[in-house]
Amino acid sequence: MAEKAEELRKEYFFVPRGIANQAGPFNRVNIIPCSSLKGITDIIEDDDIGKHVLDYKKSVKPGKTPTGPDFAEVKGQYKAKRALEIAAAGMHNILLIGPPGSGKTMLAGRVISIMPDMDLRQKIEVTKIHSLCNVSIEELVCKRPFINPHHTVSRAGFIGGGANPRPGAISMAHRGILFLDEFSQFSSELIEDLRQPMENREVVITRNQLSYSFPCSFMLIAATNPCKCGFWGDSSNTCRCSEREVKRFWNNLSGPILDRIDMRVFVNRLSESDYINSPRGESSLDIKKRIGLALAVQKRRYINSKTTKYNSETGQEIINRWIKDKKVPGEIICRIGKKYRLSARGLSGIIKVARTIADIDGSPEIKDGHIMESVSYRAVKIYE
Amino acid sequence: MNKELKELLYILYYIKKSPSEYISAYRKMGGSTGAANEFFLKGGCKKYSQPCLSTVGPAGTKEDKQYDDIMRGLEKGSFKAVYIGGRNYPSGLENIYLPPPVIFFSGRNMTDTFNIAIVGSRKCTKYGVEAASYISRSLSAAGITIISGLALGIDSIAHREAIKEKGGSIAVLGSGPDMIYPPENIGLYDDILDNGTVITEFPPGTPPLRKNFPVRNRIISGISRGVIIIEAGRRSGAMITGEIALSQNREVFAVPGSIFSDSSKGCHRLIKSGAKLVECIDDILEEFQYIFRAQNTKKSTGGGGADAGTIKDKKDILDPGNARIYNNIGYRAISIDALSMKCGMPVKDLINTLAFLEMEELISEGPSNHYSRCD
Repeated sequence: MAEKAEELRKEYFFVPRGIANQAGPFNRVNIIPCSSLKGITDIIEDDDIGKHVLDYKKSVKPGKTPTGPDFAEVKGQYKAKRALEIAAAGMHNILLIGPPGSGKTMLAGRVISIMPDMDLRQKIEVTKIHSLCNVSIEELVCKRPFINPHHTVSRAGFIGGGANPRPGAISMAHRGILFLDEFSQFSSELIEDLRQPMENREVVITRNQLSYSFPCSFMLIAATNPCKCGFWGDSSNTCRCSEREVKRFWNNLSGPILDRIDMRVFVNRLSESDYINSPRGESSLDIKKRIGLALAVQKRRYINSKTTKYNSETGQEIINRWIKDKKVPGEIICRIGKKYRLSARGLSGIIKVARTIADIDGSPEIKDGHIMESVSYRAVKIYE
Repeated sequence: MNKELKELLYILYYIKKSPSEYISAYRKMGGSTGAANEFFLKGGCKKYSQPCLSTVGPAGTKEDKQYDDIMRGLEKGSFKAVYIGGRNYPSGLENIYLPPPVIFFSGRNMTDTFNIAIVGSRKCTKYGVEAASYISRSLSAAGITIISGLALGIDSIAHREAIKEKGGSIAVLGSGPDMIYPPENIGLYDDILDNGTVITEFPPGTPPLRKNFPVRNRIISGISRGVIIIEAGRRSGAMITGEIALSQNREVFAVPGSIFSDSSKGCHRLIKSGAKLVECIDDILEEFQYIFRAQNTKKSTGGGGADAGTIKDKKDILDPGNARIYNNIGYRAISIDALSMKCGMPVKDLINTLAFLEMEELISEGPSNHYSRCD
């Protein structure tokens, strides 16, 4: 609302004291915190209104870099870490597949720590959304949201709605990560509800002839077991599922959503010797620095675009231009398309991820090696 | 409909109580000639197999309804039937232990074709797929009819390759002639009928019960001169077929595999028990030299869609970086982490080369980020 007040060029904005700090950053409008209606009338009658104005810089503690779980705590899992690094760099959706206890949840929870800090505008966006659900927010939200809805969440809780429409989990995850653990347990209705909002990056809810639009531009991380018992493909060979059961398990996962998830990676169960002997992994900070290079490239690339900020959001026309400008190795794409029988969306997805890999590699053109690595995250052996 | 067939079906499916009741039924029928005679005079019903008699029809079916269903089906022409001692009954079945008195079938009549069975596990590996393709295709090209069980995996490949070579194929079911199992193979079933036959000893309405399959395997090997086991786990249906074939005195062939592969353990055991090791078509054909001239068929690495060059050529064109990684991968599946330690390279540098090698079909990716050599 403070943003709106700014737009309308109002001079003073009276705000309840408890949440005054949220409105802080809008320093073209004078924020006056107050505790009651009488308080407002008192202030208005006061000649020196200026002394009541909130001095944002003094009242709010400086934003501290949130410390939290770190990638260094995860042992081994080099391929999965590499995949998540690429996913975070380009905001690509990713599916983690693995047996119980392999570390999928642990890895997902740490991805926030390698994502770049939000800029002011993004922080404001996120705060606006969160304050709709949670009135006790005192200051600006500085940390990217990590939303982990349980698979029994209601439809309204998931995409938004309710009698008095509020944002759902997907909007709460705006500018952050939506983590769907036990992806196979989510009902197909919920997953279908996800499709349109993921495409448009906003969700529109209609209630009583009024239309509410909440943004929901998030990175999706989905995690699942490879089969009902969870141990398909595990080296201990303890899978109890028949081939038909494995097939049925994967057929039940939504095809359209899977097609939109450009990266899939198998997370192995750590062996006992690896658990003891694995050296400490790379810290989140180091990975973040590496990604920084790729992010700078993307910022330059999409500077003129209103809709695209990251490689994952690239439209088909841009990809077509890349192909025309010979920035994409055409021959190898054809062979891959033929061998793995991918849809056009699948092939575009591979190119987008390859573009991110090339960015991390510091290469202006996409080379064969980048495409091949991208393919390895798409053509994962799920079942025969 | 043939009078003898009718009588036999009547005895099997209408009366089907204890052996003594059969005898009295026979007497009641006035001891007519034909199949009923054969049935009783040749040692009584105990000698003949009775799985069809003890098989329960779909839930709620009364026993006499089964007989009605059979009659109706035969009259409508939904399926046909042959009986032991009658015309077109597969000669191979007459001498086995517990032959089926009646065989229901769809498609071409079974004539005196040269039959060889190809069986293997449903969970076959890529290697099994290629071996089965090659063997089925080459045998079919030589004019042999391929027998198998319409199961997923090796069976389906054997049928499919035979059809592609425009050869005949016979599928033996573990259910009634009207119940196609597995449902994924309905298309294959139709294709087989174009030029072949689908047979079963179970009456219509019999579901594909688990216990039916080991029993039907004796028919797969019974109508064949030889059985080839492509891939089999130590305790699998394909092993049962192999053992039955040995006891029926049929030729048994087995394809060896990697000594690290579980899917070849059954085949290796059969070879140890005396089955013939198969590396190429000649290994099979020379056992039947009195009928076939062993053709000089070259082993082709056709399967899998690799267009240019054999694997040997591909290995040569690898650049040194890729070659180093390739040489560290053996036939036994290695995890990507172990490979990274072996090569001394970080995992992320291996990923694109591994994807490239997989695309060239020099290596094969298994589940859980494991890789093994393909050739």
